[in-house]
Amino acid sequence: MRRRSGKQVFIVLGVGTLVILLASVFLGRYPRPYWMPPRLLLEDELARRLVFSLRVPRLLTALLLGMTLSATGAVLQMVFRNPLVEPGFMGVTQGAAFGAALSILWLGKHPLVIELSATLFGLIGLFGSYFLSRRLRFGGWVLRLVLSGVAVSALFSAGVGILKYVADPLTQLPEITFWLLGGLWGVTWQNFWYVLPFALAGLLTMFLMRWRVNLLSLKDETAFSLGASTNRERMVLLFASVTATAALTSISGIIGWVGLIVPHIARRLVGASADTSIPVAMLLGGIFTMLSDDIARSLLAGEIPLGILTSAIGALLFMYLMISMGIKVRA
Amino acid sequence: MDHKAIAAKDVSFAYHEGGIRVLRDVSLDIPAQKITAILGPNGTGKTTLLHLMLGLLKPGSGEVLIFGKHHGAYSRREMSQIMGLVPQFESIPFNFTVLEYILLGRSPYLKPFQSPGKEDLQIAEEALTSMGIVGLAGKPVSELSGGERQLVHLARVLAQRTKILLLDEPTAHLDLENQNRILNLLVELTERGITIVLTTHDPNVAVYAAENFVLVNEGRIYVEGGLDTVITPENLSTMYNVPIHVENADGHTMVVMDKNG
Amino acid sequence: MKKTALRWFVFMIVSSSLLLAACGSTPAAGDGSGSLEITDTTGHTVTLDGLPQEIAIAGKASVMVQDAAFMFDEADQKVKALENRNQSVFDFLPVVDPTIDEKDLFERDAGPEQIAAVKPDLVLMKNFNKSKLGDSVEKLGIPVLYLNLESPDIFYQDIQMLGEVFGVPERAEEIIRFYQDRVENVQEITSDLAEEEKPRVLILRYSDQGGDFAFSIPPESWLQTQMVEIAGGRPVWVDQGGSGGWSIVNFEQIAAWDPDQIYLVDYKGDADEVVRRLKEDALWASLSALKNGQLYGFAFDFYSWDQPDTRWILGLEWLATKIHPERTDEIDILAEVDAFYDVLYRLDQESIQENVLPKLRGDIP
Repeated sequence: MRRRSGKQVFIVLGVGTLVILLASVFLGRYPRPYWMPPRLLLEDELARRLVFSLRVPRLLTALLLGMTLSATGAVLQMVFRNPLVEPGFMGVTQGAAFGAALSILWLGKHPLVIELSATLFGLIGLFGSYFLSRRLRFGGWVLRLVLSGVAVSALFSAGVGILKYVADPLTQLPEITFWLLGGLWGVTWQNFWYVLPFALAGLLTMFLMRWRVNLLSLKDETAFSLGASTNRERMVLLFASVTATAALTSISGIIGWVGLIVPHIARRLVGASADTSIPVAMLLGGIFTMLSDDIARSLLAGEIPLGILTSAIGALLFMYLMISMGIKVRA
Repeated sequence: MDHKAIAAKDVSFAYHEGGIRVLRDVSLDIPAQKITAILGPNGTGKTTLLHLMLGLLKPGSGEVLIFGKHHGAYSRREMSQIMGLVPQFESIPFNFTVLEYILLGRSPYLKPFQSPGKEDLQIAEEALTSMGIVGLAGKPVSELSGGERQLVHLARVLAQRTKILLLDEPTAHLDLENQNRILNLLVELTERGITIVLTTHDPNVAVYAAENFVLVNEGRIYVEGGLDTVITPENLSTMYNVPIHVENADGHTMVVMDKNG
Repeated sequence: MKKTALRWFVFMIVSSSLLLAACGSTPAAGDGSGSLEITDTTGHTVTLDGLPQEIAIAGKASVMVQDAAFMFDEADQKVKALENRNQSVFDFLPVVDPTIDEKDLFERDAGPEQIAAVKPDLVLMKNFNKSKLGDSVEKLGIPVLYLNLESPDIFYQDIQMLGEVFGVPERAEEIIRFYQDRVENVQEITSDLAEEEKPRVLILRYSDQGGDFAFSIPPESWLQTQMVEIAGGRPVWVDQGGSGGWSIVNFEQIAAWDPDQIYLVDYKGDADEVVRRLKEDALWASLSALKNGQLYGFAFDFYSWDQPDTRWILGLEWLATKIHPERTDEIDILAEVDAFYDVLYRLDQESIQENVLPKLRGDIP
């Protein structure tokens, strides 16, 4: 793929996001599968209610989810100098899901408590992966981080399963499929408003610091010589991104692959510099997730878990990119 | 005091508390606006010394002064506008273009949430021009040859507009043509008033470019001074544990290994 | 060198095939005479040494199997071990058999070894446990029979099989007649209905989601579909290319169907509460079913009446009274509940009054 001007791509994607958002408002199962004639909004009160209480918050959440996962993926990849990581491989989303589940069971159901617990365990997942990788004696840096990240993620996934199985005879927790496969079917305006501040804080931080991310992707000595306080800046970025991801995960369940694949595509489109690739990744991720959720809620009468769709599409794209030698990694 | 860009006084350093001291009682002066070569076999602590000068590492005992002041007296921002580093092994895991990479050199002048602007772009392009590699601006760094890459690293540090340049083994792995090019550029830079400290294990590289020499062996300063004081067969043979001659050909000093012992 | 290698290779192949063949054949269930052969509705046949005396009931959904087994008096004596899937074992069965706590109890999801430890001579399970649990138990030499229960006809066959197991085929016939009479009764009432006269019905299962609701529909193949059809309704969830289990539907789909009647199933027993909340919800209020007061909590006593549990017959009759109230005057649900527990579980009036009636939930008149 030839590189295009960052600004142009960003504008096109921005317009694309709005278009898809608008179009998705008219997509669903009512009154018939798929398309709802816009005129119905004026005539049918149920349609109005449905669109404004159900579809719109869900769409906006899907948009936020995609933006957050992609930005976090891009940041993780650059900060850890590893093109194969994403929040779902580094224990972040699984840790957050575990924290949220734990909170619902024992700590309290208030959204803020859930969010705090999710963030805490998301951070434990992330740093657990990192410190575990430093103790491995096998393989190059890239491989070690991915291995330990996958292990920690699996551990927390299992943790969610155990919580559900052992500690939840009265069915307080959402079905296990919700946590492990993800889904946005229960999202309300209330969910959205609670998640929005965390998501915006994280997204804004990552957006404003996007140039610094370039710097942090260099070796420590070089970054230091260029005036970066590497540890402090990395902490700020990681904290912001995990907080945002945890907030979204506590209402969406574990959604994977978006954070891996979208940054790669963004970099292929506009180049590796985070200056342009992070904003482009945000928009691409938002579009990707909105479209996936459109399929999840409209294709069949029954809901398809969102995580299944993002995995299927994401994994296919990943395979294509790897085969076409798009991803150069020294393992 | 003014013409000492960097001064080290009785610096000792160990990577772990109570561990082996990599550097012991090191005292040296780096004169301003000249090229100083730190010479020594591999593994004698040359890189550590550079990192101590940079401020990345803190001495266990002793002090390091930059233009007469401790590192602490400068903010990170100020420090990065004074001193730049070209490390021995730079790895760039993401495929920046040459221009994007060079723009990173402008980071010390950017505010926390700022991206490079027109002026920064101009300075970066000037750096490219002075390296003679304008044509490489849009090339992804992964596609550069070894020599090109080193020029690009240097361009980055030029864009950083620092008064002091630290270079760790800048000519290792380069062919003669590129070695020559780099060293000539460095000499040119001192004529513009920049202080240069480079480490190398190759005495001929040092001799070609530098005016001031520091020999480091096993963590200690063996000798420090000008060409005639330092580059002697006795000093070099002792340090490298190999019989060495110093020859003079047409006014150029050459260091040669003695085959006949 | 090559020739010996080849010979070894052939030897390995032959001996492994023999080994495999030996392993493949399961040891005969029971030893010696093999006097009693029983085949279940999945086509699986076991050979028993006479009537089993030490029966265990295990696997997922064992509650349904238990409820079916305890319609027979002999179960009190002959069922020795049950699985404790949750507290509900102690809800209903003690009413039927006061000696229930003397039985061996397995932990939830007990494996073949635990089951074997109580030395049963027969194990009863719901059919979908076969590959995960049943086959392994049989490999230990213990015979297993499966109950399907997912449609009236298959249910009757399952009861007949239980009659064979307990050695009381007449009792099995009695039970089957009880069901058949009632099913035929309902079928007569609804048989002459034209399609348009059959209301469009939706059954939703409610599950909690840490504050939000999630609603699911059953697959077409399950009993719920047939119950609605026999009761004279049109289930709206057919032809959806559905999955093998409950699948979640969002509100849009429910609004798109806009069924005439909605029945809410809650296996925790809180259907009434959920129904109350939905009636107050602005979004749900715009559905036709809610506007016409046609949202019902599915009837429930110890268990929900919508499952392939023995209570499905009550569920069927109850559905009929709700779907076609104008035609089902003569069905008195409370009387049917009485008859059910009297005939099928031999409870006396007092017991029914005390234990059953207080547990009735859902929209029962």
